This record gives sequence, C-alpha cells and structure tokens, in this order.
Amino acid sequence: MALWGFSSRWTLAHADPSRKLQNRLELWANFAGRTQNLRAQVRLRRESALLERPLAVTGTLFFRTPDALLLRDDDPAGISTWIERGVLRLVPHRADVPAPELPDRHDPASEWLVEHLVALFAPPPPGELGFPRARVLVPPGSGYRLEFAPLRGSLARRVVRTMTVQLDPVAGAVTRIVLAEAQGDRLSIDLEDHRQNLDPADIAGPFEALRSRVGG
Amino acid sequence: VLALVLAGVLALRWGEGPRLEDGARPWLPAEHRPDDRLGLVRLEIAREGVATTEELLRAADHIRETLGAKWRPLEPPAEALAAWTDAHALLLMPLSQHAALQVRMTNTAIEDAVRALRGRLASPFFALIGAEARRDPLGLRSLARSASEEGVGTRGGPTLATDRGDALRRDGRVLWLLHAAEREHATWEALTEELAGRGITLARPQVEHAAERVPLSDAATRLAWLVAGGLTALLAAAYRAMARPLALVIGTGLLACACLRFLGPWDALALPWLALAVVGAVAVATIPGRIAALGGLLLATALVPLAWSPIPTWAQWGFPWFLLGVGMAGVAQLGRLFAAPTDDASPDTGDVHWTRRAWIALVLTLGSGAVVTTRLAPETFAALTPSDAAFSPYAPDRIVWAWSAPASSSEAALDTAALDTHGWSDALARSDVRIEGPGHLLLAPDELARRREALGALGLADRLAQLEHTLQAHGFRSAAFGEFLRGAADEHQSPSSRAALQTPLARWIKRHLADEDGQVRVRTSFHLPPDADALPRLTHHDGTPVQLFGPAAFEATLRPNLPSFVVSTTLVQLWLAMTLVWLRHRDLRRALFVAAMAVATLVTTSLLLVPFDVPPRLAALPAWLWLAAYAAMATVRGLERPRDVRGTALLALLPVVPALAFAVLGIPEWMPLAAVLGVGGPLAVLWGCVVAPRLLPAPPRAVPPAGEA
Repeated sequence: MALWGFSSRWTLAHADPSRKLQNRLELWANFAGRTQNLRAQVRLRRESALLERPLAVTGTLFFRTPDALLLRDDDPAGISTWIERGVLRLVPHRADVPAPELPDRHDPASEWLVEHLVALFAPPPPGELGFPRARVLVPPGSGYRLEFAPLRGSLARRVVRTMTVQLDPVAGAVTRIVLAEAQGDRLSIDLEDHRQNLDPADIAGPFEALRSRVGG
Repeated sequence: VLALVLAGVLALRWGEGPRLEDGARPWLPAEHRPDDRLGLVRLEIAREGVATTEELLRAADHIRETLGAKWRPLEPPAEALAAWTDAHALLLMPLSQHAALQVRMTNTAIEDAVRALRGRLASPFFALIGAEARRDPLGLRSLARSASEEGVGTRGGPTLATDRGDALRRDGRVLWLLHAAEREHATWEALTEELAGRGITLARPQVEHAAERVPLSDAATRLAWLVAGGLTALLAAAYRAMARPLALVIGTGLLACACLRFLGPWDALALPWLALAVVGAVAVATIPGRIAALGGLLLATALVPLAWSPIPTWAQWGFPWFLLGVGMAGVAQLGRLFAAPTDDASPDTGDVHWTRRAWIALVLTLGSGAVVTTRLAPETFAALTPSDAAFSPYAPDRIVWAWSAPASSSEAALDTAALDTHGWSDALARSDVRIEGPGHLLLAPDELARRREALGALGLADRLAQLEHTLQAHGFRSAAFGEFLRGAADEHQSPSSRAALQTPLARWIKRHLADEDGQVRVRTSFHLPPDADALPRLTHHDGTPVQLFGPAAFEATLRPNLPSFVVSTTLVQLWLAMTLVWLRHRDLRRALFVAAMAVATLVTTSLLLVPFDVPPRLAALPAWLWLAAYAAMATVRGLERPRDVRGTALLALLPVVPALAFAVLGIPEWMPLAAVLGVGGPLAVLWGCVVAPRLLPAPPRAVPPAGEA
C-alpha cells in the first residue's frame, strides 16, 4: 500500500482559455460543486494487449467530500480501489488474495491519477476552476468532453497518456471516464444512475467495511 | 641572525616547496577512503524554475555526451537490468525458496493467481501494477527478492535507475550522474551556466566540499607566519630584546621548514605536530639549563604513544616526532644565549620537602583523574566531516564496501562475488541496508548447476504449460506473457558472469572490478540507512568474516575501543614522563607528583571546556598528550625555580600562540587542538609553576650561626 498526499490548490494556469473549455468546466463545476456525496453504478471495460477480448465488469462508485473515492467492481475475484485523504489502497475482494504492491507514495503517475480521479467528483474551491497539474483541453468530436493529460515533461506521462471525461450535457455529472494508458491499454468507466447527496450513513457503509477489513 | 636568515632564504628557494597532502578525512587509512577518482554530479530542478523531469533527463544526456568515455553508470541501466532479471528470474531464485515456488505452481495457485490478475484489471491503477503482472503473473519475484531489482537496490530505494544508468530521485526533481576524474574547470562552469538557463542547477558535491576547505598549503604558510610572529613577539616582550628571540625562532623555524621540505608528506593531522615541536623547543629554551634536557625529553616523548594509534598519520609520526622534538630542543639551545645571566646561576637545588598537603594533592588529583576516565566518551572524527546532505543518498559516510577474494579473471572474480552476495542478500533481507554490486545478478557455475537440477525436479515445463493454459482459459493472451514463459523455460539461458559481461550491464559491472597485477576483485557496496547504529555482520561464502571498508567501517572499528585507547595512550604518556623524571632525580615520589600535576592539568582543562560546549574529541588527543607533557615540564621547572615570575608568565603564554593560530586558520581538524591548548597551556603552568612549589616547597635552609656572620 502506498501513502501520499496531494495539493488541493486550484488555479487556471494551465486551462485552455477558450470559451468552449470554460463552458465545460463550468458545467462540470455546476454538478461537482453541489456534491456532498455521490453513488453511481459503473460499467468498466478494459482493452488490453494482455487480453484476447476486452474485459467488462460492473460495479459501484462511491464518493464523499472532501476526498474519499471508492470504486468497487462486482466480480467476486475483483478488487476495490479506495482513495481517502490522498492514500491509495487496492483491496482484493477475496481475503486470501494478497493486495498488489503499489509504487512509492511519490510516484508521479500514482500521485497524478489519485489527484485527478478524486478531483473529478470533488467540489472545486469557490471562485477557482482548473487543474494545476494537467493540460486540459476540449477534445475534437461531439459531446461535452474534457481531456486531461499530465503536463509535458511529467514522469506521469510514462504511465498515463490522457484521461478523457464525458459530462452530462444538462446536469454536468461525469458520465464516462476513459483512461488511455501509455502501454496501450484503455479503460472506460461508464457512470450511470447518479445519486447525489444521499444520507451520509448510506455512503459511509462501504468505506467503513473496507476500513474494518484493512485498517487505516 | 643574518647567517640564519640567509640559510632560511636559501632553504626556502631550494627545491619544490613543502610536501603537503591535502584532502578530506586525513585520519582515514587509505583502504577506507572513498574512491576520489570518481565524482558525483547532482542535477536538480531549481525550486523557482520551470524545468521538468524530461528536461532533467535531457540535461543528463547532454552531460553524458560532454563527458564521453569519462561518464560511468551509477546504477545498472534499468531496461538492461529488467531484461536480465526477466530472463533469469527462476534461476536467480534461491534454493531456499523452491518449496514456496512449488506451492505457487500448483494448479490451484496458478488458477488463483490468474483470477487475481484478472481482478486487478478493473482498477484504474492497473497501469501501475500491470507491468509487474505482465513480467511475473505468478508473483514469483517476491520469492526471488534477493535476485531481482531489490538485490541491486533499485527498487524501494530513494532513487530509480534510468535507462542509461544514472539515478533519478523518485519525485523526478533530482538526478545523479557519476564520472571519472575531473574535466577542466571551464567545462563544468560552461555546463553549469548553460543548465542554469534551463532552470536546472548543477552541483558537484565533492568539488564543492573541497572548495569549502582552506587549502592546506595556504594554511601551512599562515600557520608558519603566525607561530613565528607570535613566538617572536612574546619572547621579545618577555626579554626586551630582539636579536636572540629572532635567532631562536628562525633556528627552530628553519628546522621545521627543512622537515616540511624533506620529510612528509604532511597532512592536516601532522602539520600541528610540527608547530607543537617548535613551541616545545622554544619553551625548553626558557627553562634553566640544568633541566633543559629533561624538559626537552618530556616534550619529545609526548606523542610517542600515538605510534601505536590506529590513525595512520599519528602512527607514522609517533617515533619521528620524538627525534624531531629532540632535534628542535637541541637547536633551541642556541637561544639560551639570550637567557638572563643569573638564570643558570640560581642557588636553587631542586630539593623538595614532602608535606602532608602534597600527599593529599597527589591522592586527590590521581583519584579525580581516575573518575574522569570512567566518564570519558570521546567523539570520533565523524563530527569533523561536513554535512553530507548534498550527497544523499550517495553520502560517502553511509556507504561501506567489501571485496571478494581475488581471482585470476573478471569472470572468476564475479563468480566468487555471486557466491558471497547471495548469502549477504539473505542475511540482510530484513534490514534497510541496500546492497549494490553485480553479484546478485549472477550465479557461479556450481550454483547454477544445483539450481537447474532443483528446478528440473519441480517439473517446470509442465507447470509452465499449465500456466499458459490457465491464462488462456481466463481470456488472457499467453503470448503477452511470453518473455516470462520463454525465460523460465529456456534451458540455454544462464545468468553467468560471462553472459552478463556481454550485455549492456557490462559497463556497470566493470565499475565494480579492481584489477591489481592480474588479480581481480569485485567490490560490493552496502548503503546504510541514516539511522544505522551498527554495521552488518557478514561472512564470505567460505565462512570467513567479511571485512568492511569505508569511513563508517573505520568509525565502527574505532568507536568501541575509543575510551580505552584514549586512557591507555594517556597512561603510557604519563608513565614515560614519570620514568624520565625518576631517571633524573631517582625519586619515585617526585615522579608521581609530576604525573599528578599533569593529571590535574588534564582534569581541570576538561572541566573548564565543559561550559564552552567543547566535547572531548579524538582529534584533540595529540594536544591532550602534549599538554600533559607540558604540565610535567612546567612542574619540573616550578620545583626547580619557584619564584621566576617572568619565566612563568612566558611559559604560560607559549601554548596560546599555536592555539590562536589553529583557531583562526579554519582547518576543521585544528579547532579541537586550539581549545585544548588555549585553555590547558596556562593551566599547566599554573599547576606546575605556581601550585606545585607550594605543595612541595624547597627544604628550609640552614641558618648560618651568628658567629660566622
């Protein structure tokens, strides 16, 4: 398991100043800004050179402010990705399967992914809109999409090429995340059935279950 | 005087100048000194700069091109290392892990491992752990920790090896390169300037540390002038004359210059001894002639016990310094020409009257000396070394190394190192010590055969076929894991030294080889964690204990014996002083009393230094020994001539002259000497010339009968 912290400073320094980008960021902030907690059903699909056919599994995403994110797939042999207070844990569902060894807490790619996955769902600080450690742009094509890439020269680019996010055109909720990895894999996470600001006890359950299992 | 000045000028003009040996850590024996033929370069993204890690790597490329053949791989090139360990993962696994390997290669374990691998694919963080899964789907590397990257310390350590063989700090902001010898200063200046413009700072820690030190040649010149000037001024003020003090100082100074020129080399530890020899000779010249020989011998034997010291410079100069002291004292007798005409015509006989308070003082001083020795905790030389933050994690003080047994070829030496290193790796598996050397990556022929046989008994080919089948059954493309499967199954692949020397790892491996007269040895380094308080205890493959080298290893050998070494050396020195006094006076009580005054000087000096926060340091040991001898000489003089105020004041101030010189010249090794001499010199004379005559007065003189008057 690895521990790390990340900066919560938000600036517009690297955001594309175009109006289109600004509109999408405002649309995203409209939904994220209201989020106290969130639950959504997810469908994950990984295309990988390791696989004969793409892997497809379902699961659930939980988020609660300020920075706790849990992505749990439904495969009994699957894994939970749990980020809280900047700490990443990968917890296999089966207790007899050892947790994979994670890179060092300062690994740039881990740090970048943790920071940006959490930031997609967390309310931005008032009056600030942007991602300081990413190049953000509006990719060509239809739909309300934003593309995030590690800054030029960052070591994170050796692992993550881009993270593309699709937004609900009305509410601004994140409906799809596509992670293009440097090794050629591509992970799509489709989010649906967003439930925002539920009773905190409903959201706390999965986090507490994991906490009681692995501690921390 | 004119003749002496002329001789001095001629001597100074003749030849190439003093034989000085500058360098950090002069106390280290040669075999423990870090290799100064290699230099570190540290590139850092300036805090205020906008450079990125990619630019840092490009800057390293540029420096590598500039250095050409002088560049050396600091770490094993990452890609080459990964290819090597992938190809030989199973063979590099220790035999002790084969039982666990068998468990991991059962049908159930393979099924579980492949399921777990598939489960991980759903995480957005699979990219971070997937490379390992691709290389090692069964997690066999964890069984072979001592043989994979952990073995050479590139995993889990503070740095990552780059593909070229430099070291990158894990946050990507600092990069280290290694290079041989020194390029001309202008090249480095140009590189520094060029990279600064790109937001990258270039530093060469060794060069910068060396630049911070005052050059020994400068310090030697200033020391000579300060000591000569100080002694001349002091003598001239005491005797209100110039010619004879000048003759005395120039005479001893010339002898010192001749020593500098023809003896040596002189390093930062030895030079102060020369200054002390001059000051001692001058002091001897100021005491009555009938005890000058005893005084000269007392001072000349002061540092002789250090001939048995583990510090090479001290051991080297212990006996020559005795001859030098005697020679200096002889030359200094020329200065007796300026002594006051009544000096040697003193009616004092030197006889003493033993009083009860003398006995009490004797017992008290020797007792206090015994108490102080029980509380002695001197610091080693480590306190004198500058901060190693700029070197981190390649700080020389945190790296020790061992040599494998010599062999007739590189391959044979590497085979021996492989046998050693696999054992060391097992022994240090649970520690934070990082082992750096090529032995991890190799197997000696006998060991290779044993492992092949053991792997054969596991039915490896059948197990690998099962793994391939299971991977396919779970939707994986077994070809994607081909490197692992091929490497594990190929019987012709072997991690031999010959094969390794034909890979891109060869240059890094060769950096660890030392060829001396056809005998090749392999150096394996151990990077100690910052909080390490003990060295690893290791043995070679044949069971012989490993001897570790390096500054930390030398410190570790010094530390346990330090108090006993300091005490025994001081006792030997006091015994020598007592013997000399006894030989002169044939009076054991008097010899004991002289030693007691020396002990009193040492004890009171150490107590007086406490408020100034000056801890006892090994570096100051010569000053303590000289101080004890000086106190003995002062006591001998005090008992001979108790009422010579001018001579007493002069004697008290003489050690202050070199103390002030040592204090102002900025050589770290000289500072501890300055404190001891500056405080202890006057105290020695106080005890020897003021207190001693009162404790041990001259016997009352017989009053002549009135009729004879």
